[in-house]
Amino acid sequence: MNLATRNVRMALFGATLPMLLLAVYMALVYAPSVSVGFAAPNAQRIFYFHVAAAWVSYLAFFITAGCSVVYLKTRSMAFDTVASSSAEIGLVFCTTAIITGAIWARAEWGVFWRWEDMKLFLTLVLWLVYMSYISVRGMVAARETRGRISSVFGILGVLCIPLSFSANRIWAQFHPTVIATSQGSLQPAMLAALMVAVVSLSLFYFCVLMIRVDIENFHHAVEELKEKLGDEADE
Amino acid sequence: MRPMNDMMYLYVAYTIIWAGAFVYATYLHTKQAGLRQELENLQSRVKSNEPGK
Repeated sequence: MNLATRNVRMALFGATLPMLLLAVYMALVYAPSVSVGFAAPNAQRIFYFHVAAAWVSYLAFFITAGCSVVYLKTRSMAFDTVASSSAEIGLVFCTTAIITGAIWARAEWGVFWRWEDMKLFLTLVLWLVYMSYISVRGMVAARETRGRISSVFGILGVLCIPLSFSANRIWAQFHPTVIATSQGSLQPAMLAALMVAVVSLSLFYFCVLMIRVDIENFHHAVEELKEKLGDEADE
Repeated sequence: MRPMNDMMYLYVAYTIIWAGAFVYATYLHTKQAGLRQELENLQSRVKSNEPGK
């Protein structure tokens, strides 16, 4: 790793923790409670990290799709590594969004899940698509075949994102639409808290992505060296 | 809505978010450190196997 890369990493890691702390402060203290229209005004503060986690999962899946396209064109394993790493992290964020959403739903609606709500259903479909992506990678041993098959999943999966994102606008069922609707938009303090949460989780995503790519590169280097050393290294 | 229950959901959600983030980051850090160590060991073995060493 050269000095410039190391400095960028240190700056990113250094900026992420204060931003995360600021995001928690803004979500829990700075942003006002919303009692109008919500049965659970305190649980409503889950929204800042729930929405941020969902956004970052979309970002991660778009990066997976982009890198998958480049991989299929160039067959450069570096892009496959970034694509798979980003998919795994995106899945973690998507899981976070689903769990926090379910907790909020229990507080607000009295149930954890509503199968009839298309936003929830399509988000679950998105989660299942990327779960399949990870499963496929675990099942195929040959590196290039694995890269090709999972790239197709990575590209097709991203098609679920516009549907998942706009489901509450199209079907207008139970899931609230809080940003730029015809009924108005968020209060400035709430919007600021949401933006800080999105930025801080995005920074966290890029930190984790760098570590995850390192792990993948180390793993391949270890496998290559083991092959070079033969069976002796496996003992 | 009972206020305590409302707060409890908030605590549970934030605990899950940050405990999950901590566990995932620790898992990745441990895995990275283990692989780095394994790589260094293998590299030193490859060097020692090179002719003339």
